[in-house]
Amino acid sequence: MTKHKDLFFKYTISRLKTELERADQRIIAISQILSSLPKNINEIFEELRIIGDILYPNMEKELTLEEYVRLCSLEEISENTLKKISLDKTKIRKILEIQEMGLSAELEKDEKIIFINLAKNLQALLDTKKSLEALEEKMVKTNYPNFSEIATPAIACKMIEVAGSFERLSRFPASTIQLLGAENSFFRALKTRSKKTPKYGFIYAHPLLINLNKKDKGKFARTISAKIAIAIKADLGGKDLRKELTDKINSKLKK
Amino acid sequence: MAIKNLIKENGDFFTLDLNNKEKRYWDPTRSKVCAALKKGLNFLPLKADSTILYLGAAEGYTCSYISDLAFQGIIFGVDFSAHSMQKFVLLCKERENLYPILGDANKPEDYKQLVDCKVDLIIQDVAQKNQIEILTKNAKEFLKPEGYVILSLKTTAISQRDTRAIIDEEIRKFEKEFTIVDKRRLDPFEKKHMIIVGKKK
Repeated sequence: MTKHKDLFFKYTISRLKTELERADQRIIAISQILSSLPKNINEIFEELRIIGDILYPNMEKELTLEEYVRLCSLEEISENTLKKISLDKTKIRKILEIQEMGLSAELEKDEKIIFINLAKNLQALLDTKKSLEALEEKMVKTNYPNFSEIATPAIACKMIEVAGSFERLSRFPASTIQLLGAENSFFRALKTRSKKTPKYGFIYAHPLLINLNKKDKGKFARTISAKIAIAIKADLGGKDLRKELTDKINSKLKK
Repeated sequence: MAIKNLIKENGDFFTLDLNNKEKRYWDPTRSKVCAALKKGLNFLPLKADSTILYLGAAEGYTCSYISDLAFQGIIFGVDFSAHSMQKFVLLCKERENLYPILGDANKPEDYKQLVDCKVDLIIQDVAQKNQIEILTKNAKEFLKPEGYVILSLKTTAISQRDTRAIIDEEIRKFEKEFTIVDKRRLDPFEKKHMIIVGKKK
């Protein structure tokens, strides 16, 4: 018996494509990259500093990571080139001071080229990270407007990633959403039967929650997670509840 | 364990020749069916021309060997994960008798229209809490009256309790629908697993 095998391919591949191209799966992929990218950037930064320390001693304390990488990718150091990479006047003065004192070593040409290349690669990674973050925020905002408004885009992405899919997340109750991201401490508390169960997971980083004092944090985490749960369900149904939910949160905040 | 390789070349099937490089090794640590055979499973209800429904095909490691054994038959591989289905579709392109289905084994009515014939054997390898329920659902829909089932039971997917107690409980459920032909624990190869071969009542 020969079967209609093409039909199987057509059906499976078309379903496979829609499955893989779904917005929440794309967001999960991006946030997985973003969770491991900073580690890699830090590792390469350490490697960069092995030679960077010889060339620009003590500068890692003065400059931010981005500024340091931009400094390392310079071929020549003068006041003009330093101005081009948008450094402060005080920082420029310090770098030039070190150069004048002759504290920094002179490298051979080949070595310098390789070093600059490494710095440029790290710069590219930093740019990728920035653009990925922007892309992720845009995707969440367009696909899940209510959810990203109430929970902020960064927290929303993390929640979708942990849940595995948006559809699964929408079935979580508010109490689960409150503790998403605190699984380890939650199960530890259950195992040891201690009374110190966690009060918040990812929503700890919520901008409304950070400035509250310790006593109100737990209570307010509960209200926010309840509103997030409603917002997720509104996104699934295609409704716009942004105003009502923010009003409710603000009125609770005043109390 | 070695098995002949069946990928078509020049229109002919390869023939079994153990001294030749055409044999392929079946790794019992990767495939539970192979592990059961290694442990002395004395009955594999497979013929060269049987139709088989494989639930939980994943990337198709076991499926490829089953397709070598049943080289004149048809094997439907069902899996839920889109990511591993990508690799499985490529395997199906290579092998004539493999058919891919992306679907949930929990809902046999989803792929009912594709699998339009009854099958001789259902092999199930989905690590789910309601494994037996999934198997009986599919058996009702697709299995021939005298058909067989092979169930690989993952006890940790059901509960973290004592393994033996879970197995006893699950076997009681299993015996309501099927008669047990043979069963093996897979201990050195897969911990807390069991392969059960059954026949439809």
